[in-house]
Amino acid sequence: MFFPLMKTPNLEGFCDLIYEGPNNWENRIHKPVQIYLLWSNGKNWNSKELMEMRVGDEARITTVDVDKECLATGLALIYPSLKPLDPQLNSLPSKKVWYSEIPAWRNTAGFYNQFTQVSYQADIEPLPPKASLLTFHPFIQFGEVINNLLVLNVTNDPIIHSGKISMFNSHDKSFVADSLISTNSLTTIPLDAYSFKPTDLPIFYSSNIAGIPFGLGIAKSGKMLSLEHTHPPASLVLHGDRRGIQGKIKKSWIEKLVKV
Amino acid sequence: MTDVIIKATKIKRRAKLFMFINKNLTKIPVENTAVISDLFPIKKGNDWHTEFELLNVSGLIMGDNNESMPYLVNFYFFSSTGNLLGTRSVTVENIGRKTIKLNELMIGEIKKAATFSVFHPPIYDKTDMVGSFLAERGYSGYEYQNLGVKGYVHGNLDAVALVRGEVQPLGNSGLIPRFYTVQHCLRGPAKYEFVFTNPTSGKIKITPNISLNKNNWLAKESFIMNSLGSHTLTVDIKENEKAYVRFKSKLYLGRPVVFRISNDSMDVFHG
Repeated sequence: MFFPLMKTPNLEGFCDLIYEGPNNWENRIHKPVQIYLLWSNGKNWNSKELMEMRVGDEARITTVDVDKECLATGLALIYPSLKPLDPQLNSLPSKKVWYSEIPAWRNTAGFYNQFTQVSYQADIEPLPPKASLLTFHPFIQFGEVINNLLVLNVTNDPIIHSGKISMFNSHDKSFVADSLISTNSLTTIPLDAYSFKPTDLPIFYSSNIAGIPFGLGIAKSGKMLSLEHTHPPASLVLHGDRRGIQGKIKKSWIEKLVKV
Repeated sequence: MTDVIIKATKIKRRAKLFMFINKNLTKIPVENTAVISDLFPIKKGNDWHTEFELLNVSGLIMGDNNESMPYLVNFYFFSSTGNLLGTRSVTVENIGRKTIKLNELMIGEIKKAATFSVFHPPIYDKTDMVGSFLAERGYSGYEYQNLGVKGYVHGNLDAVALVRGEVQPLGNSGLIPRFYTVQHCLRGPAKYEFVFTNPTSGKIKITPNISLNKNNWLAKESFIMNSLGSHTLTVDIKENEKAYVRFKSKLYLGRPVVFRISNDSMDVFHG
C-alpha cells in the first residue's frame, strides 16, 4: 500500500501520515517503520529514507520538503517499510505494511496554497500495466474557478509510458479533444479551454492506461480548493456481478466512442 | 514451520473476521425492483449551500446518455431523527448533467431535513443487471460562505434501498463494538464537523475518543442515532494543536463525512 505525494501547477502537495490503523482488529502492527519516498526516473524506482515512525506518530510531508527531481512526474510515493530499501529498485516493494481491508488503511493527501487546503483519503496500489480507463466527470464548476482533470497512475514497473486520453461529451458522444497521460505520474489536464457547459457531462477514455481521475477546482481568488475522484462505471451498481456489469458498460460506451 | 505460521495467521484472521464482520457489509435487497442510494448530508444555514449532481444513471449504465424520454427521480428527505419528512420528484431531462440546488427543493415539510437519498427508476426490465442493483452513490457539492467553488464528496455508505415505495435500511452492524480511527491528523486552527448517518435498521450508539497526546485517548460523551438518523459532532482544534479522533460503535463502517473549516475556507472529504 502506497500513499501519494502529488504536485500540480500553482499548488503544493502534502501527504499527512498517521501511524494508527483504521480499526482495532485488523493488522495490529506495532513495529517502528521507515518512511521512504519512492519516485520513478523512467528506468528505476528511486528510494530515499525520510524518517522513522512509531505507533501513534504523525507526520506531514510536503512537496516543498523534497527535491524537485523527485517530483518530475508530478508524483512521488510514500511507503512505510519494515526493512531498509535499496536506493534503486526494479519494481515497487510488494510487502503491504500499513494495510487493512474493512476499511482500507488510508492517509490524507491533497494540495494547499497560502489560504487553504484540500484533501482526500488516499491510498494507491499499483495498477495493471495495460488497462483502460472510462469515467464520467461531473466536477466542472463555473464562474471564477480554474478546472483541471488530474490522472494518477502507479504501476510496479518504473518505465514511464504515455498514452492518449480522449474527451467526449456524453450526451451527444461528440469528440472534444485528445490529451496525454503517463504511467507513474500525476498528469494535470486543464479543462477550461474546452468550454464545457453546466449541463455537459464529459467522458474521459483511455484505451491503454488506467488511473484514478480527479476533478481539481481552484478558486481564482485562491481561497477555495476542490478535489474529488470519480469512480469507475462499476460504482453505478451494487451487488451481483459488478465486474460483469462494468465490462458491459465499458464495452457499450467504447463501441460508440470509438466510432466517433 | 513457515507453512504452520501461515496457516495459523489465516485461521486467526478468519476468526477475527467472524467476530467483527460476520455478515455482508450491507444487506442485499431481496427484490430485483429495488434501487439503492446513499444518505447524503445536507449543510444548512447562512454559510452553506448544498447541491447534488444529478446524472442519468440508467442511461450511463446502458451506454447512452441521450435520454429522449424525460423521467422522474425521487429525492427522499429525512430528519436528523431518521423520520421521512417528504419526497420531491425531479425530472431527468435530455441533458448530460443537472445540478440540483437543495434549498430550492427544501420548502414546506422538508425544510428541516438533515439528509437525503436519491432513487432512480429501476432498470431490471430494460437490461440484464446480473444480480446488481442501480445505485446512486454520487456527488454532493458544498459551498461555504459564497466562495464560488464547491467542495465535492461522494456517497460514503450504501445506505438505503427503495423497494415498492418503501425505504429499507441496508447497513449491517456487529455484535462487538469496534473502533474506527479517522485517517487524518486534525490540525488547528480549525473547526471539524464529523457527520454520521445510521444506515442500519436499529439504533446505533457512537462514542467519540480524542487523542491530543500520543496514545492517550479520552472518551467523550456518546450519542445515539435512530435508524436513518444523523448526527454532527463538532471538534475545535486550536492553533498549533494536533489530534486524532476515533469512534467506537457496532457499525461495520462507522465513517463520517468530514468538514474542516479554517481560515474562512473549508475542505470536505469522506473519513
